[in-house]
Amino acid sequence: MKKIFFCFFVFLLLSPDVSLLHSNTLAFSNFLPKVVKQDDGVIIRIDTVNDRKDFYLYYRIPGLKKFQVRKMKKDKNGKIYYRLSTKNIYGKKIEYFFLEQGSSPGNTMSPVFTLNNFTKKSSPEIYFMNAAAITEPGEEEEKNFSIKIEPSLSTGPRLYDNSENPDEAEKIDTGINMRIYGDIHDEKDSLGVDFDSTFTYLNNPSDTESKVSLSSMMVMFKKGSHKFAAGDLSIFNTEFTTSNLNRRGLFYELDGKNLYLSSFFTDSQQKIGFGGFGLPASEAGIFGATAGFNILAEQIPVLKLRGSFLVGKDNLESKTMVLLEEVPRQGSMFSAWGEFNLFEEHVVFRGEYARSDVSEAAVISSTEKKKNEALGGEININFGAVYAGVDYQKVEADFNSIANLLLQNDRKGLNSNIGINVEFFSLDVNYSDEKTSLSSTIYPMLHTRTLNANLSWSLSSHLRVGANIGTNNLDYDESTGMQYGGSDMDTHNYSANFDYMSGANMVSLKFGKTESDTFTSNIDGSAALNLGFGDQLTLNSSLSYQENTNLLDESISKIYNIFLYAEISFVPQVFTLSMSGSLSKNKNSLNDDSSYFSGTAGLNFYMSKIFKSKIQPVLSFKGRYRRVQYGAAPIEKNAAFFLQFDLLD
Amino acid sequence: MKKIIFVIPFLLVSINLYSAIIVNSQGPYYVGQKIGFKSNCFDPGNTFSSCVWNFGDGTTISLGPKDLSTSGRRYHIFRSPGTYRVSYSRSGPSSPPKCLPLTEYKTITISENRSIRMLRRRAPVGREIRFAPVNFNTPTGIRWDMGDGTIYTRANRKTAGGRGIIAHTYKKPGYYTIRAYDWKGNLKTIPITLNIRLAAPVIDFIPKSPRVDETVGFLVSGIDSNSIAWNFGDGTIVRGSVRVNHTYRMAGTYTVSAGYIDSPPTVSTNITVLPENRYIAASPLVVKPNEEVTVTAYNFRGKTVWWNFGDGVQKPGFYLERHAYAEPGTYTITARDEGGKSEKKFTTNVTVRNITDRVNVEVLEIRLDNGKNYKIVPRNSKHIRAILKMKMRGTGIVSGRWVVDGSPFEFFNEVVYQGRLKEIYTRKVPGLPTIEPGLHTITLELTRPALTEDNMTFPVLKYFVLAGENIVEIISPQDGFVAKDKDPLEFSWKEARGVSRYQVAFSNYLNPLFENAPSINWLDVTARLKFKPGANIWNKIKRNRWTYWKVRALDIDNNVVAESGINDIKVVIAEAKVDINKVTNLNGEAVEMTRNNITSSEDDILVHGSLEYMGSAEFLVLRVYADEELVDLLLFRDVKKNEKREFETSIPNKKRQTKIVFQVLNTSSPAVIVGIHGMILKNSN
Repeated sequence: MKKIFFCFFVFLLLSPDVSLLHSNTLAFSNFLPKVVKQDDGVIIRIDTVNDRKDFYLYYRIPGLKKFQVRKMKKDKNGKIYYRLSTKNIYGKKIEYFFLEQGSSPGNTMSPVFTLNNFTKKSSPEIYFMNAAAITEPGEEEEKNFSIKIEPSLSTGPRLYDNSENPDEAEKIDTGINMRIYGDIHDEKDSLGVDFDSTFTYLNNPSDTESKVSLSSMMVMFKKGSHKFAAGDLSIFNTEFTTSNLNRRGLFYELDGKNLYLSSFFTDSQQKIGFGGFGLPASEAGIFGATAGFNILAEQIPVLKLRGSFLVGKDNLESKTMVLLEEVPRQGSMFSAWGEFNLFEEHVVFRGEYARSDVSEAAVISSTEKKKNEALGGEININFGAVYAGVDYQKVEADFNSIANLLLQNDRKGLNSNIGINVEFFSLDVNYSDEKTSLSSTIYPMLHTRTLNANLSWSLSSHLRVGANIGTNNLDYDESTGMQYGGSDMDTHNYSANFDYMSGANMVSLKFGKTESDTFTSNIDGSAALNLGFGDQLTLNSSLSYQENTNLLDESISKIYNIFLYAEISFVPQVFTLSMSGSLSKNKNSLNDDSSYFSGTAGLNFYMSKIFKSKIQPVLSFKGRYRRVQYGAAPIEKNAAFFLQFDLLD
Repeated sequence: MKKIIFVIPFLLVSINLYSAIIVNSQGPYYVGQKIGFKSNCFDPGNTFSSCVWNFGDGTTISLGPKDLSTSGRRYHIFRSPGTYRVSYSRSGPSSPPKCLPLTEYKTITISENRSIRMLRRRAPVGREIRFAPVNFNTPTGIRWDMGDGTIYTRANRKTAGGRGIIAHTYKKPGYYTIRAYDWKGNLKTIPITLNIRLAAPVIDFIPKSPRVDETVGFLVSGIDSNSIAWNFGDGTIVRGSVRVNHTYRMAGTYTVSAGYIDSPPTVSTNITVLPENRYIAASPLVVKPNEEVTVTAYNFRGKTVWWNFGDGVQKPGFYLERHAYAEPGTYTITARDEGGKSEKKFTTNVTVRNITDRVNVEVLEIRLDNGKNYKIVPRNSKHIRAILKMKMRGTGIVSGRWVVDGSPFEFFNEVVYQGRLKEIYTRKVPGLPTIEPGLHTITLELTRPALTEDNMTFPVLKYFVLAGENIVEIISPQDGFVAKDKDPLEFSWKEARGVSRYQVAFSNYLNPLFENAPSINWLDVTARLKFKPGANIWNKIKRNRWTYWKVRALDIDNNVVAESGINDIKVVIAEAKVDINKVTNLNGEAVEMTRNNITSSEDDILVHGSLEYMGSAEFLVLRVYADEELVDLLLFRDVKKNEKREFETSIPNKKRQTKIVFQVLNTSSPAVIVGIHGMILKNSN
């Protein structure tokens, strides 16, 4: 018991809170307190030898580090005491000690005593959260012009591979990136210059890649309302003009209060490679210009009017596209659009008219009128959490945009939605009534009506449920005369999802059913996990199941899939084990079953701390096993081991 | 009498037989054949003094007694065909005559077996023709009269082979009679003749009015060679025989020529090829499933047609066939003439209409969320997704799976609608694997619709996971910070790598920030490392409840390159009021206080204050913080509305400046903060 007492005393002595009390030499006393309990208070007395010194009572409730301090008093007999009001003291127990403070020979303190059950009154449980932490904001570093170079490397020779494919077995994947970026910002002059480029080397490029490539590139200059950019552009004006135009080229914009001007020139199909620096290229080149003005009311644009013109051609060779039908990609077009805001943008009208002249469009006789116009109008209303909107679009069959490969033309229809969106709850109901294949000689005109409702409800900060219900009717349009009994098709879909999250962890469950009457019935379910257990374990997994029934022949196919990747840290940020695995099974009542399994495990040694984060090398030893089976016999069994080195500067 | 009548003819016949010359062989007899004659009554005893053989062709032989004694047989060769009366007459002393009658006769017919044989099938102009004498008696001495004025004799004949074969080339077409005189060119003999016709070269063809893709048979006559140069006038030049076939692919008039490759003549003719008149037609062109379509082949030339109905059924058939389709779609019916031998295909389309849940994809794009096929991300980044975007026809289910590093990653199953673009993303949770540094691949496999076209190989996207993480490290406020609604906070963080600008977002729910939901209102902070919200933003943060916030960093291309963890703050409206009545040192002496600033040189000060609550509560807890440290925890029981409750607490004053926070909580766990008060304590030492 004495040892415990001594240890506790030493601990107190060493604790900064206590040591801070005394700048002078500290001695120890053997004051023995006398405690008298009272209502709402306790009287603590000590017998002292030297009553000329000051005595202090230090006390605290268990759980706190800091002690409260009071100067003790002397009674008429010169005895040292202090009446401590316990009315506002939390709990039923306090820890306390005394300090004798004098000029000589120094300070003397007593052992720490405990007073139990100083009151019979209860205290609530308190969630001790260090919630009042106050830290000063970090000092912002003054920004200077800087160029940063960030190389990164990954290479992985195979130590062993029993693959029957010699190319596969001998393959060494190496990737090197060299990123160069920097910026200059002067807020005073509203000036900003940013640049960011990455050169990439791949030793095993695919057919559509090159070994050395400029994988990203951007130089941007901003001053006031002017903006100039050269590099990887993403241009979006309207759906009919430059929707999702991802190209490399040049862009200028003047976005003033009343005046708007912009122009761009792209000459590459992709935002990658070395093409597209503004030099004309024969394969692709799109020039666009937009001019317009704003009318302001109380500094808010009430009316915006714009006119756009596009001309050029695009190259269909692409690293991301797959074309099964020819799409016209050369010609010119113009578009005029406007936006009218009312009631502080609570009501917004938009309208657009566009016309295209695309030379490679479908062959049309000279006497036949070209159907190359598109028009659209919409009204959107929002008041707080409630919103509604209606839009109408008519896009004729020969209308094509050079800059929107995925433009859906040959259609007209109405689309409307209404919903409510508050932070924890959203409900959106959408109805559309559209006709497609308006003038096709191949396809009859179709009439489709869709009703969809989406619900998302956060039951708490951590739990959310969602649901989707939709129904669609597709039939020939009346004008085709092809409607007959049972010619139409109804499609219904239902799904529900449950998400739980806490911190960086999330579990997401989803169940759904889709059915096209008389054709197909499909049910699917999935679970997705994103779990982190401190620095020790990260676990990510998705499990999914699909069952597809062909209602015509009643054949059924079932697909199961599990994908998992995880990392276990033996020494966090130094030595880890990473794992990934994929298991997939396909059962089909008409065909043979098939299955796929792949598992990879790697021991990783992160050496960043050794190099004090100046460089971040990683050395990994990995093993992989893969098995593919179709029918009864495996068609591939493969084991391989790799040594991989990664580096980031 | 009857016997006499019978005997006389018999005798006559017998006498005659007896008196006929005997020929040594039976016929027939030919020119040049050596024929032996012998008297029927040979007289070796020289009964006659002389005998005369007359062979009827002007040749007579008189035999004296000496000749008669040697042999009774005489040989003769007739040089011309004809019927000859050979006689043998005896005379001279002879008694009694031993043989009667004295003159014997024999009529013999000499046939012709000689002929001229032309040693090639046709007699072309300009080409050497060889003629062979057959059964001639003096083949090498024949005199050849070629009929065109050319005479060949032994002296000038062209040698063209043994046995008297002669070669001659006619310059002009026409009829020629070749005469060959045997017997060393004896003009007195009857020549053997051969009439030949050398026709003018001419090209003939069948049919006379051919059509495109119809086989035309060409025949050139007057030219005899197996190596004729044919030029069909459509760019086709072939080497062939006199008969060739050719098919014209386009209508028009062509000049066809044929000739020897190395010498004239060349002959040509015009041929007019009429346009194609074959076609097929289907009726009706639009049908429902299992409805019969009649398809007819017009003007086809063969007896049968090879039909391919485009749904896997192909067979030989007649000009008119019927077929029904089970599945909707557009089918191309193909017909080939001549039972499939004709290469030309005639097609027509039939559309089988019925609305199904089949989806036809027109254009697909898969890309990473930076719009490219390559992206670099830090380790453990959540900011990478792959996107499938589809333009299609039809309403139905689209199913498939994303494949990461060659392994199935996740499946998707989505409804797409007619006339609508569809975008399918990889899931945010768990997100693409970014645990392992290095190069990774991601691509797509569609199982529905099952695309089998050759060009349906999806691009393989690549992403490079860097060896290190990139995070935005929060400096202030700390996680769980409670702020007064009147005092807007300043949010600050440390610089991340490769950042062009930062954004801050607030939400009362974890989910939108966790998933970076589109509904989040991201506030631009430019490249600064701190953000102090203006009044409009600060006031939008809900009071008295936890608000989550996050910082993210974007590069120049608006890609998220780093983000912070999700922290929370609480902005409270003070329902409980904390008043500081006085501040003293431990001796009870007053300490200077101006507003919320206290200045003292004491190591500890005593703060005497009071707490007033707008409602009533069983418990109120007052927490006293000195900087980040909890220095006191006071409890107030049975607090009445607007009741003032006094307290006393000591605050250490060991730093130059200490921020004191009084925080009032009205319930237990979890605590709800209902009041807050702050002070600054300055050490004057």
